[in-house]
Amino acid sequence: MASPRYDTFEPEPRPGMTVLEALFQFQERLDDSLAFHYSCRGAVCGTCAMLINKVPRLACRTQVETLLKGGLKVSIVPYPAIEETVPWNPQEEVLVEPLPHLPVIRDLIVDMDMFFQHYRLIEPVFKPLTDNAERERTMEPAAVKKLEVYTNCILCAACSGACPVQGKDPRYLGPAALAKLYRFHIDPREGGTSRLKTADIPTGWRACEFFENCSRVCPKGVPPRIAIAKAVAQLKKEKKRGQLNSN
Amino acid sequence: MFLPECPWGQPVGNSLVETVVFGRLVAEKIIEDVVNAPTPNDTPAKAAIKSVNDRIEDILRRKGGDRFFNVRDAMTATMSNKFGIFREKQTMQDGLNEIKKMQEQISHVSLQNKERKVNQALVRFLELEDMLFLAEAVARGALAREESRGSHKRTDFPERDDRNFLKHTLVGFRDEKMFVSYQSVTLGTFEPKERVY
Repeated sequence: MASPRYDTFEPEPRPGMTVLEALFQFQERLDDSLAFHYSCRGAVCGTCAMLINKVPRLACRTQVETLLKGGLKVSIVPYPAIEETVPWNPQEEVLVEPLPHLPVIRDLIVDMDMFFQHYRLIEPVFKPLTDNAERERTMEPAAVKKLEVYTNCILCAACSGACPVQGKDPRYLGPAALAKLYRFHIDPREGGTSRLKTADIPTGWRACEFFENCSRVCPKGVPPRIAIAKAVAQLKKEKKRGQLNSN
Repeated sequence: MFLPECPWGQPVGNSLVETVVFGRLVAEKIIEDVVNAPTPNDTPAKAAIKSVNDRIEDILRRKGGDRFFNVRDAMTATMSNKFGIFREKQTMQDGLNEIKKMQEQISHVSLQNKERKVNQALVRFLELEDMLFLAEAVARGALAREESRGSHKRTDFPERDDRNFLKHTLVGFRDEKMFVSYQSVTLGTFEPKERVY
């Protein structure tokens, strides 16, 4: 593959133009070798996550004009992958780069394998105590409300692209996988397996350093930092109880 | 029956439940049947792969011609303007002629991006070819249906005509030509009547 370089394109502006629309314009009118992933164009599929002005975002939901006017600022703790690589003027330019912490296949397309490997490892499927329920399993509305926020994840990987720990260690399970694991842990319909135990490993809950970049960049408002903090606290409690019992 | 996970927290209607319930049933049946299925002969598949591969190589070898995205833009304009909400015979006939012209045009356009890997221009070109094919099917179906029914609103045939058009339009392709045929509607569950607000 040729060595990476930055290209500059000038869009023909349109009110409300998003970064994704601009990319389509460049691909169609200026350089049809430009490669980027997209699908729904409506912020529900998570395919178009990329680094925009050094913050992981969904391209289809990021308006060019708003960025240029100084809006959409997200305050995150800095980490090596977002260090300055090329000078740019944020009042006149939008910097678009591939999502951090995943191998780049081409241009803005990254290899999501590692992200999904971590996701599969935590077994994100419902595990009830018995397979055959006589009727549907019900939940208290309060319990639904607690876990609902974690069900909104669209697997865009913006969180792990914003995570300094993920940047240091690709084997870290990452905010998305851990948030989803927590979602099943607090599902009262589950039985049997300890979801907390699954990530009670060096690359699991305890690897989190609570920077909270994940929650800040999530386009769907999922708060992995909260999930991980609660999981860590509960594990600590269980272990203490275990120690008391064994005495 | 279990509650389907709705990742984006919006009501998604029937299709999600359909996929989850019947998708699983289909998968279970496939797993059950596949052990007894004979080993398939892969010659036709290999031939198909080679044929598509050759076609892609031809497309990538082309030089010159207009930017194919211009044809895509022309197609969206024709479909919006001539097969939109209000339809009329002459306008649609003009539209169909334009579509045929565009089909001819794209057999000459070339791509700047000649690579085999991660070539999105190629993907979008192949999609455009197929879209023009579908556009012709839409055009022919709309021209043939000389009545108004549902969202197919014709200014030259404003009334619904159950006597002549209570039937399904089918579009087929034979000998390089597209043709329209019809299939009767299965009646019995509901009494045919006009949908009004």
